[in-house]
Amino acid sequence: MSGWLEHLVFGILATVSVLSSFLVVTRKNPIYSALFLVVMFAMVAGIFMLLDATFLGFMQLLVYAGAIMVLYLFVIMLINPRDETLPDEGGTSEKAFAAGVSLLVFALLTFGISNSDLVTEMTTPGGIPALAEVPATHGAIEAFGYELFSKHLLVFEVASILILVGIIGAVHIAMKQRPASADEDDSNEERLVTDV
Amino acid sequence: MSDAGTPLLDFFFAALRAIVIFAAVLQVVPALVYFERRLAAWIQDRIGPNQVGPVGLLQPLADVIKLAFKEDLTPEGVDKWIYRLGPALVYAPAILAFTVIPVGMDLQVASFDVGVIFLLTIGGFSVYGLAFGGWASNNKYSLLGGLRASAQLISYEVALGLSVIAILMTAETVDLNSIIRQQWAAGTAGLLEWNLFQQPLAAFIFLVAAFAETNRLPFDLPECEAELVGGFHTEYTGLKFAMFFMGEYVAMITMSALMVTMFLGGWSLPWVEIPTSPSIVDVALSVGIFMSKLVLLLFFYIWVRWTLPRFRYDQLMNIGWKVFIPLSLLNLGLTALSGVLGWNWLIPLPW
Repeated sequence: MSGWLEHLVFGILATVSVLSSFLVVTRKNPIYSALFLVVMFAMVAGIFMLLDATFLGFMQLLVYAGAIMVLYLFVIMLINPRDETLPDEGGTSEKAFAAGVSLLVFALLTFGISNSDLVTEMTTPGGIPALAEVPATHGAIEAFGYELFSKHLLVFEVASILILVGIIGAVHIAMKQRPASADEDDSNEERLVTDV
Repeated sequence: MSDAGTPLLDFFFAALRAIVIFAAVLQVVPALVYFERRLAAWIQDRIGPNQVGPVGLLQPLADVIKLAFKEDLTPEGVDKWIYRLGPALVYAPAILAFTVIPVGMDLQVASFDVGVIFLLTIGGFSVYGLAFGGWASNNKYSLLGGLRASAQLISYEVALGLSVIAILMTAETVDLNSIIRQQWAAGTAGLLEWNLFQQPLAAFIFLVAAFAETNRLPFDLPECEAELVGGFHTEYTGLKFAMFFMGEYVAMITMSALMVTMFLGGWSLPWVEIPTSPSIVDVALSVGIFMSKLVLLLFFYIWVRWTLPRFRYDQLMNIGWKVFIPLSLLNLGLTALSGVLGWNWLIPLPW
């Protein structure tokens, strides 16, 4: 993509993602928060794609927007929040405190990133010699897979175990709720009502 | 089809492809509705719509006119923004997902290097439309329908994704045109090279999960009329309802097209050589082959709808989580094992 077009697309993606993340925290109704969070995920996925990381971008959409947020939405819809039933949010002092903390984190991150060696190298003309060697397919599935299953295999496996532990934990918590003697067939009638 | 020309020419051809293919998909919808109503009547031994035009062929047109001129009611107490967003979010992903489907020899709206992953990702977004539409309607039946839809879609998306991964593992690519070529490539086995016969378990899981993903009977619990009036679209009228309706039919076409591409050899015919530099006639023929396979599969969809009764919701969840997901994992494991050992676990063929 030619230079100015890339800048333009990045500008749009970045602006919309910042705006929508702002809306995620400021909306009173959690349904709207969820909606804007999905928009934010889509924009970040767009930025990934702009950086030739197409696979990562689509994985971001598939996993976060397509699966995790649907589960969130499912829970939010079970609670079924309506504007008139929502409790009042905290007063101005609480909001100011939250805003202050966020600004502090933002300042820290900005400071950290702008002072990192990588950024200094990147902003210096001809700073990163390796950048020229990166092939156009470095974001494709093949390159991604090789990288993940060779260089980062240990981290990958540890992350899988972490997820497995999470799944087992969730199953354990869900199992506790059910009476031990419940007969599968007898409870069907009742579960029809409660199972949505 | 992308001839190496000037960028403007490329843009023109891309736009032309997008318009022609998307418009064609839209034209299929009314035809499909007519087809479905006539077939339903045939299966149930009735006559069906036969009054409007010759043998009722103009019935879809009458339906569209009726829907377009209906009063567009917005019930009181709905969340206006999300209420309007719902139908669009069902319809847009369904048609966007069709982008990567090769309708003819290397002929598709656009080809991405993530191929089928694009389709699954974008297609999965329609769940937001169902959920938002159901929630915003401010009606308990709609809400239940939306909830059922979201739970059902994520449950079966897992099985669907896992069955697709098995295909991607054997194909070693996500490009749908390459997947089609591989189903033809070995040539000698002809029909048996189709993934339907190479990966029958994955094909079965995909078929069932596709039914569930598109809310078709026997999985149309989100709009189960005996329990939920109309489910998530109860409060919608006129063109907004039409968008839900069309989104559903387009999703059905997209899923069938994906099934044709991945399991039934797409636009190729067994034993018929794929030309390396296809002429216009070859491309037209390949579109015809693709369309015939698609029509057969759509017929199957309709046939199942008017044959099988609806599941109960707990049965649906049990089948999804306790049968199809373990089965698809088993299939994945066997595929991986056969890949490592270099044998074909299903059909012990001599080659």
